[in-house]
Amino acid sequence: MDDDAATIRGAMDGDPDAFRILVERYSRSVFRLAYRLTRSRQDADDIVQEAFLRAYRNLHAFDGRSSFGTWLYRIAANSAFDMMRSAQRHPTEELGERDVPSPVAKEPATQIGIRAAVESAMKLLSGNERTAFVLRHFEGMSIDEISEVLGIEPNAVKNTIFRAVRKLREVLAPLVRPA
Amino acid sequence: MTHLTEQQRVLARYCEPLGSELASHLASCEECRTAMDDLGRTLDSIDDPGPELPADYEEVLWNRLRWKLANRRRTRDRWLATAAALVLLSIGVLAGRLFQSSRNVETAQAPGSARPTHTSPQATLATAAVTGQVERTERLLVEVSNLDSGTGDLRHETRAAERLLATNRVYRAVARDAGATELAALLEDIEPILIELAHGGSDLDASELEVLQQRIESRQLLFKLRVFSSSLRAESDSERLRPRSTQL
Ligand SMILES: [Zn+2]
Repeated sequence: MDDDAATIRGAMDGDPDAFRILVERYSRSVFRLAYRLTRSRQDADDIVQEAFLRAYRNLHAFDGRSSFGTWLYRIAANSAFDMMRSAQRHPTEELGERDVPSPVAKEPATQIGIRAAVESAMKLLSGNERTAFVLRHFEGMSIDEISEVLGIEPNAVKNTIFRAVRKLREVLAPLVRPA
Repeated sequence: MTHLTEQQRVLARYCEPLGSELASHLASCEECRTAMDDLGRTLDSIDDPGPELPADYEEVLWNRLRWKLANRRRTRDRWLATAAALVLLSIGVLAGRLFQSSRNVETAQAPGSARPTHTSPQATLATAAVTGQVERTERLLVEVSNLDSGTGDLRHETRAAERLLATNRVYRAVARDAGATELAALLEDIEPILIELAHGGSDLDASELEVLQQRIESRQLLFKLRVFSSSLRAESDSERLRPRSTQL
């Protein structure tokens, strides 16, 4: 977004209103990403805050090679990934309670069925698998960008995405089959 | 005729275009096309909107962030102001000491003449502040030098570097202005390392970490820091032993 350049300059000069604009512009999509990664409303809230604070602190390091959004998503994904990794390392410290998405009554039953299935299928994935899949499928990040977030080789990212898709398909394919 | 494997289909969808041979197989093979369409339908069905957010989500978030950002700025400003004041005092002390010792060499002191001191309690505190900064930097660089490239998590070091960097900048500028060239040069040497750690921090990969470790070693930074901190410690020890007669 072209508007971002001027807004970022303002924020770097210490204009709080400029940073507020960035928060307003991006917070919902950062939340969505964080939720997809952690499956927890509370953790997603924490990650959104952490991502914006980190972004603010590191604005000077934003070089405009990617869009501001991509840069911010990468920060958020890193925070989420750190959180998942440390939860795996300390399994007794449970992450916030997993949320069930709000039921959407207007939608047809099959759609609700698929959504619930997606919800449980996503929980079957490991932290790496979920992060790689979400960043590729929903955020359209490149394999190289994902490799940076996860700190693994691009080939390992490809394998991770493959494993994620296989797990997801096992749960989802029976629901989708009839074309 | 070999059909596409499941992995090739997934990679084709998400990672890389099919090679020409596989692509022409796919174009002519009904079975593979059906499998590919099945996969596509399943993946297209994956929608994951998450919980609905309240209408005032952005506003609530901003109010929380604003408070944290302001708090952060206030703390940092206060700390920088204090640090600057301490450093000014401290540089004054160090410069005075240096000047004093060179005069002592030139003119042998008359017996019994008390060595004039520049030690007020504040100045002693100030020397301790610079000593603390130098010692903390030394500890951080030792930690970084000993890191195994597979460790990965540098968050602790990043935060330490952020804190040290802010004061390092102040100390360096003041030291330069006060003519304490040795201290200024040392702090100048250290600054790029702190910047790299503070900004690249937890995202540093193994090869970047290695470069950083080599730079610490090649510039003999640990050695210089050790020499400086031990001379500062000697300085403040002799301060403590000296009779508190003529105070500034
Ligand atoms: Zn085939």
